[in-house]
Amino acid sequence: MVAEQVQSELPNLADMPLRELGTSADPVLRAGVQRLLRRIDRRDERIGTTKQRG
Amino acid sequence: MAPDQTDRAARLGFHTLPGTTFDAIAAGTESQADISTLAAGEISHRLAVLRAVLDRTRHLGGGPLAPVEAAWALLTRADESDSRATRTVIRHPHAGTWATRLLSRLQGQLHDDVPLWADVGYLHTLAAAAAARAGLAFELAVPTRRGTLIVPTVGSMRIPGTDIWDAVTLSSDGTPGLGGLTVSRAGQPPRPAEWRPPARLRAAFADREVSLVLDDTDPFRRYDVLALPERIGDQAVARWERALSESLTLLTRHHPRISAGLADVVSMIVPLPPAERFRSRSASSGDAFGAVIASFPDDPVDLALTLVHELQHAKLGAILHLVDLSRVDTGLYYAPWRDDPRPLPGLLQGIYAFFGVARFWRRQREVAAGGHAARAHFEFALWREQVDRTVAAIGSSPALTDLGHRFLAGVAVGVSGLLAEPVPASCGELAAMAAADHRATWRAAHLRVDSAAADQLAARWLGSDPPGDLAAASEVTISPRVPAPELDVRAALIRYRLSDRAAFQELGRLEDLTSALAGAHPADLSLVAGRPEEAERQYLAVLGRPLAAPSAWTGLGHALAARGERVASRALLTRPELVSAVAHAVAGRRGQPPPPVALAAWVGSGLATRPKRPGEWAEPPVAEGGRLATRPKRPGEWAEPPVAEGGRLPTRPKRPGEWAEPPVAEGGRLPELG
Repeated sequence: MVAEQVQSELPNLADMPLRELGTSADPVLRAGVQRLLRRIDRRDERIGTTKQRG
Repeated sequence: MAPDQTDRAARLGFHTLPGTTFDAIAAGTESQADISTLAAGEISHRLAVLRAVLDRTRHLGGGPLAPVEAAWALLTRADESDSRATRTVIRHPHAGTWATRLLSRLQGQLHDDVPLWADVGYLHTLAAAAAARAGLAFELAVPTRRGTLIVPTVGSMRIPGTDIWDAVTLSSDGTPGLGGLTVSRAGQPPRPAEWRPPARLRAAFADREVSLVLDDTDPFRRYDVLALPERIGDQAVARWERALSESLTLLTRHHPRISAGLADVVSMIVPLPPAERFRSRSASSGDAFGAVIASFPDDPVDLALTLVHELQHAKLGAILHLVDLSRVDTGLYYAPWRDDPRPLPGLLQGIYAFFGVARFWRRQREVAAGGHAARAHFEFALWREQVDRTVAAIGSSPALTDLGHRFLAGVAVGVSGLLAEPVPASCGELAAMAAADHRATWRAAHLRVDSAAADQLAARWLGSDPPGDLAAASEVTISPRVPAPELDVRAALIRYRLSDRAAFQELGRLEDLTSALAGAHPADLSLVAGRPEEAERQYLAVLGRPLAAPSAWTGLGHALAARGERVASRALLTRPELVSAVAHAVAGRRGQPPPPVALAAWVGSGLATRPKRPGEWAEPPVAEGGRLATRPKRPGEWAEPPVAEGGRLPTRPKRPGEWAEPPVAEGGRLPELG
């Protein structure tokens, strides 16, 4: 029986050399970068604060 | 260097996360291997962020620096020479904060006065750091900020005579580390370099030695502001090292489960000065995996708690890099650990962090003695309750994704185990009182009643009519008060009273109580000390003045509850925003404020005392588009517990739908403690 896997939207770059990271047009990498930029776009600046925990 | 256009086919895969790992992290039963899975994802995330930075900066001019391509080429050379050393630099927590801020800036989300070339140039310092660590010979212009050159993970140095934003040339003869580095300015001979390496804190944790960086230098070490270097000195470093050592010993001995993975996650502490007692500040960011901002702790327990709290944030931050737990949502929500209304992502973070906090106190109450044990029981009872209620409040939110629902279900399973544990009655009652107090004062501070409805009620009051149907006045909107008032004052006083009676009594002798506890009033001290009649008089004096603090209304509610004034206290502890809005409207019509107790009793007489149907109760904590809903959409959805008779907020259902446990002890006074 295959264990259930939660599929993420983060490309697995752990073993990618930086030279390849800088040039690759791999669609998985591009999709991951686009997701990241979308998340930055909708980032809620109300979250970050050092005034109080939580 | 153009992207390789021939490499179109997908060879990369996405990260996967075993379902068992996801569920274990949610429920707090994760293993070391589960933490490692998260940490692996963080490397990919950081690399994706760097690629995004490269895509958006490679066309930019470098100002006095070399083009971005030159810095990237050096970073690539370092990677090919010593990948491990380069990854150490790439994983530097503040590199993530820098990159995300820069991307926000380039996307127009963030304004920054720093020249763009200097901002982009942090990449140059990362490249120089990697090259220095890898032992490469190189020469590269790098930015300085306000007379300081910072080479992340390597060190920093003062460079007098530079402009606010300037550039120097950093070169290395290939000797690894700081030894081979030389700094020069244009047209000047190389300067002898007086490097200051990052301070390190060494301590034992579990079965290993850990070495954490104490970062007082990096401009991106604070997430909300760019920071100047604040060198804290050798003695302060030594104090931090002692505090860390003692707290890690505590975690190793007594909290091995909840602190598992700490050494693999936390690599850096960013120090802040001591905060007020029982108000330690700390923060972490998903952008800066591994860094914890923390004020100097009250004691080892305080720092251990901080580390547990921030470890929770780090784990959830790593999960959120892999999957989405919520959708775009504009609402603001009640968070029982915060002074301010929170957006959903922040609320999720708080739930998970305080789930860890509750688990910490569960164990700590078995370890602590005397007043410290009483406080541990209080904290355990308080936070398990607050997490449980908050999970229940948003558990069916449509703004959560399927995985978001699954994650919260896992937390709920973990919390259910905590709820089953007994707590001494006196501590449980204090926790219930603190929870009710926070919630009520939050309402008084941040909820606004429709002004027409308040005015209508004012007219009825002035006409000596009964309040009638309060339905229109039940429509409330969240209008965050800025700055938010401190909502933890009475909880902090309870902490003093429980764990340090001498210090609690000392507070009463202070000329200015707020010098020790911002936002506190002598009435709060009277209330927590068990003198409700005195507290009532003091709160009434406050309410007789214009612009009274919201906490005065709810404090009065507690004082009235203590002497059995049920109807008025019910209004003040469940609808304080309504009482204060009507008082304001009456003052506007008549020129002077109404008597607070009589007005509260009058409003209270209009509040229902029992639910019409099971599950149909008002005051849901979840806003939709910034508005609080007032009725469950479906039976049981958004439902809040009914208000118990006697003006006391219930704290926990004995069975689903059945709420009990008033927050104020029988006899009308706060429980006595041994």
